[in-house]
Amino acid sequence: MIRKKAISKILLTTMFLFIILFSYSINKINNKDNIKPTFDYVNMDTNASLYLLDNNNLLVKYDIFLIDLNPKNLLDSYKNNLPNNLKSPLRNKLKFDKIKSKDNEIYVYLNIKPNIKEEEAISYSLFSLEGIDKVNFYINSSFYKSNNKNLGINKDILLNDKNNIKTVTVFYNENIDDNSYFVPVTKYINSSKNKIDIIIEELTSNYIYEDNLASTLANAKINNYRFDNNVLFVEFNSFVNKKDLDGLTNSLFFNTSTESVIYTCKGKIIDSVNKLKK
Amino acid sequence: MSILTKREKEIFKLLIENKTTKEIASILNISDKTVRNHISNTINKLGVKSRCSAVVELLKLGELTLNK
Repeated sequence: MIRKKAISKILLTTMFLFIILFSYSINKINNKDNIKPTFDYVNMDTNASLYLLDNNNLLVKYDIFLIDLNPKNLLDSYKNNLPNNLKSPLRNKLKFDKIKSKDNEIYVYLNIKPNIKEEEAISYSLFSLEGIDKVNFYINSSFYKSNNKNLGINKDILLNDKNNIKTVTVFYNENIDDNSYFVPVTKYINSSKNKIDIIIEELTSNYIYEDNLASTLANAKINNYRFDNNVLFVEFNSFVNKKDLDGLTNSLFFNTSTESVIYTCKGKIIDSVNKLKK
Repeated sequence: MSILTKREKEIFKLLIENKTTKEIASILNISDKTVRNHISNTINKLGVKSRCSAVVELLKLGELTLNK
């Protein structure tokens, strides 16, 4: 009997200790000061992006994994089986004569002049490779032009003045056959607002200029944002799902120099993301 | 193979940096009139009616880019 009581007391004490330890762990996780961004921004199951055309003639970011990751294999992927309702933006008559790379630049030799969609698709697909920030096009071995990430993609130009032009690339979502893809749209507007304000306004707005595009944060409200040691803190008025933040994260990393973003709501962290180092 | 000449590109790059005709002329060491001629030539080539429309067309064509 005494033995039974002793065992019972030990079990009870162990249970209480476990509860205390569990509560302490949860509390530590919620303590903002101890949080560092904990995971990388890019999906580690993919290592490059191929830009494909949707049914509305927009270039859609299609993330892929290449075992042998190099510029030629990436561009050859346009000939592979592609998802339903997405197609290659490259005309059949466009051929790659040669693809070379040196340092942070890629040299693409084509047999004909690329049209705008082809140029954007090839350039932005190659920019998805680590360290690449310039693509040089040659046509029949003659230099045609160079593009860097200022090129713009799926351009939406709303200008009524040639002065005070701001350019911002916003990542919207598009659902195609139950898959969700990002569609980056480079907007050119006359605005004195800073880029973060423009991005937030676009992604929390009800209205998006293309019917097939959406923002997972439409109707969300952001109270404020601030920088602290190159970490961007964004505070929401009410809770949002982590998975709904990716478009905002993509947009912020693409347009600013911030390396980390922490999303909060009423003092609690919703998510924290690091930009993958290139 | 570009639609614009090198000089026309230089001028429009400065135009979208909010420079006036006078300032562009000074930077490139050419006359105001030469700057205006280059702008007019570009507008005619593109078949548009204004400097702003020319900028829009050039952005669409990828002939002009803006720094991020």
